[in-house]
Amino acid sequence: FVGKLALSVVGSSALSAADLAPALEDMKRRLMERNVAEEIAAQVVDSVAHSLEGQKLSSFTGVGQFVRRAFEDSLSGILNKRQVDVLHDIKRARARGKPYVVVFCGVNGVGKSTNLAKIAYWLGQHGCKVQLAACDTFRAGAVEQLKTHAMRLGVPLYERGYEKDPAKVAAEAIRVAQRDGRDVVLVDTAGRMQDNEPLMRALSNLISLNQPELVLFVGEALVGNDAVDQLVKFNRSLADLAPGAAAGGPAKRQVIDGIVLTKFDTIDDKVGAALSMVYASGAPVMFVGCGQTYVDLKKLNVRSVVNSLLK
Amino acid sequence: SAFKSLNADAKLTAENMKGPLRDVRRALLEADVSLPVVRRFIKKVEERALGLEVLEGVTPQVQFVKIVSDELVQLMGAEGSKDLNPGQPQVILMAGLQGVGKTTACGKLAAFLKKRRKSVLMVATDVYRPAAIDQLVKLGSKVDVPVFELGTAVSPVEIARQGVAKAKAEGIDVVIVDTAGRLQVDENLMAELQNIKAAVHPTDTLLVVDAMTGQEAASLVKTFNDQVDLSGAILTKMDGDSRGGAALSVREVSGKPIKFVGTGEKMDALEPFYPERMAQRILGMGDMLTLYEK
Ligand SMILES: Nc1nc2c(ncn2[C@@H]2O[C@H](COP(=O)(O)OP(=O)(O)OP(=O)(O)O)[C@@H](O)[C@H]2O)c(=O)[nH]1
Ligand SMILES: Nc1nc2c(ncn2[C@@H]2O[C@H](COP(=O)(O)OP(=O)(O)OP(=O)(O)O)[C@@H](O)[C@H]2O)c(=O)[nH]1
Ligand SMILES: [Mg+2]
Ligand SMILES: [Mg+2]
Repeated sequence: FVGKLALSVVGSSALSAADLAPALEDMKRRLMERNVAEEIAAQVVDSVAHSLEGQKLSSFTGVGQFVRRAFEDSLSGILNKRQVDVLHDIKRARARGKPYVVVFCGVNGVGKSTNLAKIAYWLGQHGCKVQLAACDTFRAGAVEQLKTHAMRLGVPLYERGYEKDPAKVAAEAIRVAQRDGRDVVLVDTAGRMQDNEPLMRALSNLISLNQPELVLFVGEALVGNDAVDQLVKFNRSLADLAPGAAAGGPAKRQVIDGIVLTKFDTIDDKVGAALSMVYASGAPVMFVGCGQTYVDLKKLNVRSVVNSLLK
Repeated sequence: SAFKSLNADAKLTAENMKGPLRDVRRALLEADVSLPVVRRFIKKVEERALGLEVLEGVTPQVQFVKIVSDELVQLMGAEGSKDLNPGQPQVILMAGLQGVGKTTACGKLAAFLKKRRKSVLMVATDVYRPAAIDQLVKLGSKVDVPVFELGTAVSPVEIARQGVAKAKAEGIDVVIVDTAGRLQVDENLMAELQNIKAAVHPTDTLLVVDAMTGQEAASLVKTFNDQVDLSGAILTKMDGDSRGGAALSVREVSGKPIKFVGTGEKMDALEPFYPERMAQRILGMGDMLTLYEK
């Protein structure tokens, strides 16, 4: 594609939209091949195009570098979001004598419960006293799944079996954690489709009742164009469906604070979902799940994601 | 939707199809059809449409839409739904990536077959995922179908073998074998799946695919099909918003039909797969077809 671009700018001093079109079209295809959602790929390319138009090239041989660097900058800029320092915030909550509450949410089967357990392990490694809360009271086996993790990790679990109101179970779990002097409560929730209104309302209710310090959206790297819709609708539901939201609402406007990107080991170089999710939500990727054991948890390596996207 | 730009020309030409083809391409990409599959599909449509005389009283637009949707339906295995393969007993082996909905689909399929007055046994071979056996046992009791399990200390191949043997001994009509989620590039687990297959000679080996899957769909379908020779697929989570373009990749890459779709978490949320409905969903063009039918 460098070749195409080079040809079209011979003899001109500033880059015009027409000069850039074929190269940008190529870039868009490349992003989509790496599983960036169509809409997001289009927006990113547009904004890079905008920044390049009218710019002068110092030398003919620099064109390829020039465009690539513009994309590198743009993509890194999107992916490098300010991170919540979880360990630091937990320490501060501890000083106040209150457990730090984290709610995990997302669509079905993406890896909420498994990555919750991995994060419990990671927190334990950093000296935090963790408690789990089994607030998926719907899916068959969900409570037993969490029980198994709690046992293996040697951390307490609060559960009330099935068919209970998850918002209330979470509230009780937090009370117990406070009584027992736990630092962190990790709240598992049932998977739900973003357009299932009753279930989205129930999630909003759980969150507004319990005011967690951190709401993590769990999304899998395998997802395609639906990633955008998921994040937009989870965010919107948390803000709009909470009881009292319409009346202005008493508490702070809840949104997704961070993303857990799972199944990163399943996608080879098709890393585009990371970009779609961050772009659609403005939230940072805080953890990356890359396997099924407790140690398969990483931080996002922005440079390597950008390289895969542009390769 | 996508097909505005054709005017009232008498013929579909390379020139006047350019715009509409680009629109179809975008629709397919937004629906998560894998890029190479899109490329081949566009080429096929172009070849079929080129120079085709537009019928009396039909606009080129309508003619073009008809070709696209016909070609999509063809690609997904022609009109009508496909049933499970026959056998006595029928042995259905479920396979797929982690979290796609295999265990849930076992329960739904069991309920579906019970309604057809078949006796069913489910076999729990996922010895890896925490509480996977509990999950299947719970679903079994919900749909009132027995579950054969040997805990987590016995090998999945052995559990599958014993489960199917038991079903045969008891004259049960259908055995559904649940398996652990696995990555197509995990050599050990793929070998295990091959061994399970060799041990139970399934009448159906179904790949369970999540409708939300993005660009990885084509390569995962290919690898599963190469390694365990699928007989078909189940497309799950169709109650969501995703357009489900993975369906197109399944058939195009493996040549195997999708037999069922999952449309929810409840045990009755399973339906036969109709390519013609899927074609409409993928193109987001409900109105277009009714336009044609007039
Ligand atoms: N390969 C891989 N598998 C994962 C990863 N994270 C989770 N899984 C697997 O994905 C499957 C589903 O994980 P769960 O944690 O049960 O997912 P969930 O989102 O809690 O599912 P529901 O509660 O049913 O909505 C399990 O088989 C997990 O082992 C990951 O990072 N990589
Ligand atoms: N909305 C919706 N959810 C579904 C559907 N099918 C399955 N699920 C949900 O998806 C999640 C994962 O389903 P499972 O049946 O546990 O998936 P699995 O493939 O057996 O997972 P592993 O054994 O971990 O690989 C659960 O929360 C199911 O309730 C569906 O058609 N629609
Ligand atoms: Mg879960
Ligand atoms: Mg399972």
